[in-house]
Amino acid sequence: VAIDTALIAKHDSFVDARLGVRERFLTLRAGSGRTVGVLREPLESRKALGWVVLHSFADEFVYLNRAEVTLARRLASAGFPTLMFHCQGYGDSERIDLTPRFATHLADSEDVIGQFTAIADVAQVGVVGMRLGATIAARVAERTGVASLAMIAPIVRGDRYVRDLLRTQTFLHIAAGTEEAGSVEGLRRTLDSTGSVNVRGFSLERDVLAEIEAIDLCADLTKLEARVLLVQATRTARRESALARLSESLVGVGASVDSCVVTHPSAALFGGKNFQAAGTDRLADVLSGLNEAIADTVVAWSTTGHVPAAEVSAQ
Amino acid sequence: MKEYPVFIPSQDMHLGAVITVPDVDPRAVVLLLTGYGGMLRSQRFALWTKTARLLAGHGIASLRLEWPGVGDSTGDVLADFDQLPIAEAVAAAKFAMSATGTTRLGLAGNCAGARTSLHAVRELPTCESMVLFFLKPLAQAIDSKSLTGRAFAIGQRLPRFVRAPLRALYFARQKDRRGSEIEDALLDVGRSVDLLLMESKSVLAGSVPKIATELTGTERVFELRQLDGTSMVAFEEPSDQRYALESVVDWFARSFSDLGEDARRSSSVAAHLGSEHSGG
Repeated sequence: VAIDTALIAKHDSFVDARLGVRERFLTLRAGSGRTVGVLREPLESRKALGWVVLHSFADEFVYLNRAEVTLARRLASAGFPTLMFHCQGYGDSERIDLTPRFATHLADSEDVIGQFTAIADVAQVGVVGMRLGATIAARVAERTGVASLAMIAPIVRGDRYVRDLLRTQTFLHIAAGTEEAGSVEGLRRTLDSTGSVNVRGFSLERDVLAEIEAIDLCADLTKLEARVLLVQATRTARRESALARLSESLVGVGASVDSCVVTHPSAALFGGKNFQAAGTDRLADVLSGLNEAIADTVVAWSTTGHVPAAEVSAQ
Repeated sequence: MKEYPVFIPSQDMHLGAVITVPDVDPRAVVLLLTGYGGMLRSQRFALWTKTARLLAGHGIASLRLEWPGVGDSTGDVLADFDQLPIAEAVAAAKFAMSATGTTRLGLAGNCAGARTSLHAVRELPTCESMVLFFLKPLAQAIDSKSLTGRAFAIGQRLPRFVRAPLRALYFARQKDRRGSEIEDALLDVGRSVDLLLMESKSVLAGSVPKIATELTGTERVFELRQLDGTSMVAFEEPSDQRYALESVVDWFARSFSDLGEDARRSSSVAAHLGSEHSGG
């Protein structure tokens, strides 16, 4: 066979001397199939705690990736082995035709976490997620009993998340100037009559959305004896009431909670299209500053056990 | 079929990529390139992952790549249409050919990936076939805060019958500045490799049909297909995703077919929308 497997094997990892990190591709088992993961590990002074990053839903898988990779590299550079992977139905996963849903995210994540301590040679596990990934991380943390949980801009109420998904779809049609702009109500009627609706290119079935709409994180969590970091990413420093309620609920089920508000002028785009035109024929990631500030906050909390400040202003 | 994720060294960076190989010795290898905007190697809606796996079924290997600073690639993000990542594409293509043991090469790219392919092919003499999605020779990324960007935003609110001629006028004025260089490259490349253009309706109103006419009748196979969408909603309709996937797989299966000239020239994928130009 013509394939040069020796050449390929030689390139499945590399060392970033500047960060003091080795990055290595892995094949993992995740739910109903195999998937690809990347383990980022420190070259020296390895901590006992390792982190698993749980990605978000639908196109947030793509749009939050830069924030997640920034965080993973920073954590690894600070001594925490950190694993990222693709759930089934996304990216490089084996079951790419599978329609991902909240339940498959949970099953895939639990499967990978079960392999993580042996792969990364760590004694303790932390899980971190952003937006719906944070909600998934909280549920997985409860089910697997991990030591630490970091939730970045978590979705507390699934019904509001679904409403925003549908609303974004109507805005997209308006912005693109298509005739079928419609409304959230119109999309719901389509969902009822056809059983699915196209949201930003993802064909979302009624029961997939219903599963997400049923999420009420404050009520869903019953026992979570972990250290929890709750990060709010917003334009202004005003504390979101939903996150304040979540913080109280987490304490009520046994967690020890630290909170931090990270402000950034474009924070409203977090989870959406982060590359915007920046002059003629040039795009730029308008959320780079926010991503860096989030990574700094999580790393500081992981290292010292405290948030650096209750409020962080990112540029 | 087997898949191997790799980090490809390029200058002082490492580019995240996945090589997909068939169970037999590959007949060719195709480089799958995304556009700008932080797209991962799987492409939007995993189009490149699905393409790679279907190509393997036709005995064709592939490498799908992430640009610097995107996904698992290191380096600073490059998202400037005047500084395309040509060196990175060439490095990835050479790696793909070494790893898969074939020099028969195809290139497929979307938007900035298409424009990059158009330049990279000059340094890849064994490239035989290309698929370019949304090359958009006349399109530009426009800052929404600029005067032009604000005018565009206002224009979006106008009725379509007013918007269309204004848009045509804008592109006509931009043509010499932006379009000519890309159009010249397109004509040049279309004479030396098999070329499938997948373009949006708005571009079909410009000079692309004229280019299609010029390329039809050359020794190489040329097709122009219409795929609905704009920069904001490209591939967002499931039917467009299917059509894109079928078209690119069918194209490379024909390009690298052992069945001879006739197979190269006869598509099994029906045109999706509107007109289609083919010949060569």
